[in-house]
Formats: sequence, structure tokens, C-alpha cells
Amino acid sequence: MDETNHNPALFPTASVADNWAEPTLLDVVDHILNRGVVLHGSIVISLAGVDLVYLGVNAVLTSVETALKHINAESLKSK
Amino acid sequence: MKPNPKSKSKIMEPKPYFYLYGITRVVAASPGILAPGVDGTGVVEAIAVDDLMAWYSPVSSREFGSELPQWMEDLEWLAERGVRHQKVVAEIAARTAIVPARFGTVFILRRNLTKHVAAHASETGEALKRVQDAEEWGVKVLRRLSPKPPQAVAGPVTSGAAYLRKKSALQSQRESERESKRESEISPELVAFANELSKCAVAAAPVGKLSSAQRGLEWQATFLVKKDDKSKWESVLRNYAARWADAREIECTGPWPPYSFV
Repeated sequence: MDETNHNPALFPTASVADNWAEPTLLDVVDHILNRGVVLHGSIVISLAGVDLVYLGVNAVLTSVETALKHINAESLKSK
Repeated sequence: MKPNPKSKSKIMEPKPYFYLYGITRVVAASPGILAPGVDGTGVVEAIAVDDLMAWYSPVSSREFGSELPQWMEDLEWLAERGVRHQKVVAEIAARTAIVPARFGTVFILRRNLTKHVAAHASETGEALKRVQDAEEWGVKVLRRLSPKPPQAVAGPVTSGAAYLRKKSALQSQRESERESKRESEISPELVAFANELSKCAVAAAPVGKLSSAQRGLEWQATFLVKKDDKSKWESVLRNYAARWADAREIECTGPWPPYSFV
């Protein structure tokens, strides 16, 4: 991988056997949603006096192409 | 029809909601967080709740309230906000241990945010102890494949036909991946590798709801590793990277805030 693309301020990175592994946008979404997916995909507002809005993805993450487009866009922005 | 998050309403914008990034022990909130909030404009603030501190930013009550279920289905929207969420949480995590909130945790009133933090103080304290001086690291093992098949998804899509061709190529690629996965299952070598990594980590978790379709991916997981054990952890990775040099590639990403372990 091209090390000039490596931007530690933007994404976590790691060096393994002299290779930089730059997380893709999919990695970012994977990690931030790893515990955050509400399986029933519901929204709860002001239920039982607790106005926590908490919801998640419900098997709708199908646009991998779109995500990859953004990986390229973010990568360009970070340069 | 999908709402436009940037469109101006004719009526006055309603009061903002409060988007929670995570909870830490009380630390100096100054200097402020440089990264913009999840919406790209809000300023990240911190509020002390007893000995804890909640980090949040104001967000549109339309985009992150009534419209949120629709936006969560839009990967483009999710990707941009996800990266912003990550940048804020990572910046806080660079200062102190954090219990990250799940993506999309929004409160209608700030006082309800503080009430929520106070009500969960005990379990948050336990979680903070667990992640203190530890980092999350993602590990992927990929088969070295050659020659590379035509790239299915990289590059701009300039027409509808090109889009469909790419989509079709991606589909065949995934089917072929599934075929080869069925053929190979998880090898004993991978199990041994996972065990070695687990010995250096305090916890492990599955990861990869989105990236599981990555070409050549054999296995992936995420680990919580104490900073003191990092050299041991890296040594296992290097040993296996050398051992598998011709057959497999190991990708390790991190340090992530402990998203998968709170």
C-alpha cells in the first residue's frame, strides 16, 4: 500500500510486517456499528419518559459501491 | 422521497437535539475538540456529571430525529457521519479512556442526557475500568489471490450501464468468494493464530458486517489489547505474517476506541 496515503490523524493505522493497513470506510462503519445495530431497527422517542433516541441499521447496508466511492473521496480530501 | 439534510425549512429550525459520542472520567475539557460534530458543523462540548463527563454536540432535530430512520438506510449519509463520529471519538480517546456511545445516540434535551449518564454511572465506571489503558485492534486474514480478477467496484461509475456491469461483476465476485469459503472453511492454522492473538488480548469480538464481502477475506475479528501487551501482540502478528508470506496477508487496523467492548 502506498504509504503517502497514510494519515494517522484521520484513521487508525497499523504496521504489520512492514505493510501499512489503512482502514477503509467499511472498516470505520464496521467498527462504529459493531455493537450499535438494533436488530429490529426501531426508533424510540420519549418512551416511558426516557427521550433517548436509539436506533440502528436494519439490514440495509447494501450499497457497497457507494461506500467505496466515499473511500476514494475521503482519501483525496485527506491528502 | 428522501429528505435533504441541508435543505432549509420555511419555518424556524426547531431546537437542536444532543448527539452523544461517549463518556469519560472528568478531564479538562479545554482545549476543545478540533473535529467537527457528526453533522459537520456542531461544536463538540463536554458536560460533567458527578465524576463522569459526557461528550456531545448539538444536531438538527429533524435529521437526527424524525428523519433518522431514513438516513440510517442511506450508506452515503452513514459513511460521512460515521467518519465524523470516529474522528470525534478518536480525539477524545487520545486524551483519556472513553466508553463510546453507539452511533445514533441522540437526546432531545441536554438534561435528559445528563440524567441518563447519571443513571448508568455504575456500569459506565465498570466499562471504563475494563477499557483503561487498552485499545481495540481489528485483524483480517486475506488469501493472496493471483491473478487479480477484473476490479469490480473501484473507480468512478460514469453511466447507468457501467454501474450495472460493475454491480453484476461484484455479484459474481461475491458468489465465487462464497464458493471458495465453503470449500476451505476455517483452517486449523487460522484457529491457532486466533488463539495466539487471544492470549495477548483481554477480550475478542466478531466484526465485519460490511467488510465481510471483501475479496479474499478468510477471517476477521477485533481484539481489546492492553497497551502494555502491544509488543507481544505485534510479535504474534509479525510471526504469522512471515510464516504466511506467500499464502496470506494479515491486515491490522487500530488503535480504535473500544467500540466493540463496551
